[in-house]
Amino acid sequence: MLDRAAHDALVAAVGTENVISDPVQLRSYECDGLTGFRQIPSLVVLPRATEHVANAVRACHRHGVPFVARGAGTGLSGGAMPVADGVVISLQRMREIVDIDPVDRRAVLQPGVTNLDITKAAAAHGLYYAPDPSSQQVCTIGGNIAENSGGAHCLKYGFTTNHVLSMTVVLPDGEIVTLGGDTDEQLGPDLRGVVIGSEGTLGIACDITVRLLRTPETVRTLLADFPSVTAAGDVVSDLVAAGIIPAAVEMMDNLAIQAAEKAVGAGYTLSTPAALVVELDGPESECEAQFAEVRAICDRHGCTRLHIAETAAERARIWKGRKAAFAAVGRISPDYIVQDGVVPRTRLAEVLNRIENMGRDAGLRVANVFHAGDGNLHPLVLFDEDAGELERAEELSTDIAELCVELGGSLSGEHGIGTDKACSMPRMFGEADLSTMDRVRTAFDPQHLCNPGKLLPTPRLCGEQPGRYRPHPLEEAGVIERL
Amino acid sequence: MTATILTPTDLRSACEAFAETGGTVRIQGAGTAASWAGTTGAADVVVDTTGLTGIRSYNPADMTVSVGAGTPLDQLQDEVAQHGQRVAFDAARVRRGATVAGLIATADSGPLALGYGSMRDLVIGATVVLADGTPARTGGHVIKNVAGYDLAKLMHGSYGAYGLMAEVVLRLHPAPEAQRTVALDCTLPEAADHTRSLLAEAQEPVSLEWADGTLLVRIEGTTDGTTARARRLVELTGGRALSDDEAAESWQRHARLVDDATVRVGCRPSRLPGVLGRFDSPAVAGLATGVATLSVPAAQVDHVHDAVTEAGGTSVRRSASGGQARSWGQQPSALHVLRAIKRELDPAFRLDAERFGTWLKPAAAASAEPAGRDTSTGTTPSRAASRTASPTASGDSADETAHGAVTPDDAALRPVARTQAPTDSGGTEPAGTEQEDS
Ligand SMILES: Cc1cc2nc3c(=O)[nH]c(=O)nc-3n(C[C@H](O)[C@H](O)[C@H](O)COP(=O)(O)OP(=O)(O)OC[C@H]3O[C@@H](n4cnc5c(N)ncnc54)[C@H](O)[C@@H]3O)c2cc1C
Ligand SMILES: Cc1cc2nc3c(=O)[nH]c(=O)nc-3n(C[C@H](O)[C@H](O)[C@H](O)COP(=O)(O)OP(=O)(O)OC[C@H]3O[C@@H](n4cnc5c(N)ncnc54)[C@H](O)[C@@H]3O)c2cc1C
Repeated sequence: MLDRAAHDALVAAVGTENVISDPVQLRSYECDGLTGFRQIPSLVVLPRATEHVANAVRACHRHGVPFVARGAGTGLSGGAMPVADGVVISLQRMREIVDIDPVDRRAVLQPGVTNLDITKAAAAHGLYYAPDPSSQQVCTIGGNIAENSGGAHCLKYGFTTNHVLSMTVVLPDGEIVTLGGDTDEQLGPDLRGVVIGSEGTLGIACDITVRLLRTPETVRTLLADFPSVTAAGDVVSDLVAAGIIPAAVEMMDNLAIQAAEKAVGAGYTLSTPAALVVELDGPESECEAQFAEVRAICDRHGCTRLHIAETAAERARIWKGRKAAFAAVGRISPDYIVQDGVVPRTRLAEVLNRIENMGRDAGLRVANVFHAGDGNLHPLVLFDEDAGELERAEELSTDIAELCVELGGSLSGEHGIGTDKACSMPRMFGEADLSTMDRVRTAFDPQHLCNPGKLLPTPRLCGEQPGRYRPHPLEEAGVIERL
Repeated sequence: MTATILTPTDLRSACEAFAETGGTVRIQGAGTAASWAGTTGAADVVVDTTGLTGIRSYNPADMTVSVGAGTPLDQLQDEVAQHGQRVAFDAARVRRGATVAGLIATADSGPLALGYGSMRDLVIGATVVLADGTPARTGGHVIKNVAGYDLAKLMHGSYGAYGLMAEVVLRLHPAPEAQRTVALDCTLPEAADHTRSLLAEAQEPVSLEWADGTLLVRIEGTTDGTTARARRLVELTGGRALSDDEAAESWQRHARLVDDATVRVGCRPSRLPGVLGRFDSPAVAGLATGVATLSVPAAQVDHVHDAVTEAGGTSVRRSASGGQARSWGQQPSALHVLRAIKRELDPAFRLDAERFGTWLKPAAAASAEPAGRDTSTGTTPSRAASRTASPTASGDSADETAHGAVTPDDAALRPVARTQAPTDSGGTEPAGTEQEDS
């Protein structure tokens, strides 16, 4: 519970009408998209302006109250999960698109604006906002910044960090600063880049300026079936070798396809072991030439069916199947865990085989949907909680993420570390690496009030010895050393 | 004053260059940006990065490469070109031998920034040696990765003040099959008008630069595709598609103009012509990126700073011949965060931060700054004290006072090893030589 003084200070900071303290209403803030981790906050404040946010943070700072920023709560790593005796600062009432500037091609946004609304507002000028997480209809630009979110098209166009020009940030002591500027020129180190992807632990992003891109002249999309995930993986490698950077390359295995078909009937082949969605975009002349090359590469790897979207509607249908896959898995399993890890793309086939074996050993099914172009896997571990499979599923899911690190990749490609994977961080980073990150965090937030307990392992969360140390594979190969 | 020059050749000797020396340190690359921003201070130790060279790991199929941070970028380009790949980056000083880390530390960029961004967008991992010799890794070897803070961004634009990059992992792109440049001789306002109509079309230029009297538009792609698009660009602008030789020559000229500049500027693209138009000096302007360089006489550098600041932009001096001119125009809004990070990562203030003038100095010593926080009260004195601190024997007494305010006295101060190479503890021994440091 908050003490009286802290409570009153927070109410004064944003106004009574922007505070939630009713226990029933507070409950709807107890978790984000990772529903396994829950904590009811002491108070939720819903500022309407940057100044409100700063007031609220200053009040927290003065009274030593921990706070957690929250966008749409779609995060999948427990990043927006409240902390005990803490406050949630929800940005849901700051949803104004402040400016769309078609000349300098940028948009100024409040943090609660949804990702898709940016593109909707820019479309009239032939512009769009490139990063497109599958959750784009609901997730907020503030949350995107915190997670450095990507999407199917980030292989070619990059992640949130490549598209944010500047933002005001309310620092953990309530000071408002501007990070970044009108161009990519910098005044000293790139703090904007440090804050993007910091999972809400270094401050709260408020007035955000993003770059807008010209809508490409042509978009070509195909859906191709393959006799195995290995064959589909080889297509991805060959595309890279041919110097083609598609706008998107997405892979789904048979389980994922079955689930997606059941849910939305997008026209995927139910029996195929694997399918790829490949999309190219750009100037028409170039796009067509490369599209022909993509088709040839698909054929070379035994493509059993190739469907080319001829209309915008057909293209949307293909994407609907892909984007529905996560939720659709609910149709083939009572419960499931969405994992997120990255491997070097040359190790896709290997990681998929290992995952299959690990699933078999654990007696659990794993469906795979992923951004194949950049090696970002989303294995979905299927289980039945009523059958007592939860613990086994969580273990398998964690093992899969750690396997990605073992193969020279990363614990997370887009969902973040949050509460979920903080204890796995020592698998990827050594003590000195983590303590350096912690020093940077301390520089921003000496009192450790800003989303505490997330991202970096803490003894409270992980025990005194946060995980076993395993040498990084590149370390074993003598490529890197930890000293 | 005599400085010890250390030239580490691997991560271990890079760590030793810090852990086994005391005093102030300056990190020195190939020297291609020697007179950018503020002038460097005197230092007890100079760490020369040019021995940290070579590819550490490169699997072309993954399109990522890990290199020693002191590797000249043009050398790296030659190596990856053999596999049909490139680092999509072309700052002017690359051809003068600039190192990968030097380019990162100065947040430099070239005409390709319109299509591919700067080094900050291409660095996917780094191993950084902190002032106390601790090696810290950030990022990794895969292009998509959100685990942990992205401290490579902290290095981008850090001018050697926050740590030594020892190794860097870069994202690669396929080398384009064809490049075409369309050129048009015109004034800056005319070029700005053309830019607007060009960007309204989906021609996807990767570079769009006005190089002192000539608008240069570069596109990349397939041979046929770029030919068709070049034709369209010619129609739109009334310009001319250049032959490969002509294009190379035009971009060389562009690079020379950038090299000769005295100020670098960034401001909203639409405001750029207005700002540059106030100075009758050679200029290069990225009309879509908002990044420009100007070759004004020394006496005008401060006027440029003022004009750009007024337009909301940023500016930095790029030449030592600026006389008494300021190094930077605007100062960063989050100064106290920059200082706090400096204090956390380099509590003894060993790493030279003179490139930033007074920015990183504690508020008490930087009288130019409005009195704000009392930065002399370190937030984590216990942590600072537990590390090996070193005396700031730089000879610059004003600095010493400044540093003294944040550096807790440490009982275990080491004597400054001036001429000795660090004693070896396993790795390659860094070469120790002497240099007269002014
Ligand atoms: C079905 C589904 C599909 C998804 N697909 C993708 C995908 O394709 N790509 C992808 O990258 N992610 C994806 N995600 C994950 C999630 O949508 C993203 O991480 C998203 O950016 C979170 O935004 P949010 O507004 O919901 O943030 P929240 O979940 O509310 O918060 C996420 C984190 O951001 C912090 N935060 C929120 N707002 C701010 C702010 N203004 N300033 C500072 N910190 C803040 C919070 O403290 C928390 O740590 C998916 C999620 C779901 C449920
Ligand atoms: C033989 C010699 C003698 C010199 N004598 C003096 C002298 O007496 N007095 C004097 O003031 N100057 C002297 N200089 C110049 C001085 O060393 C340079 O001004 C300074 O080192 C910057 O050059 P450069 O390294 O800018 O080049 P760049 O490599 O382009 O470096 C630019 C910036 O990047 C930083 N940087 C480079 N590599 C890394 C890295 N791996 N990690 C982190 N940051 C990095 C540098 O610190 C610098 O701020 C001398 C140079 C040489 C070669």
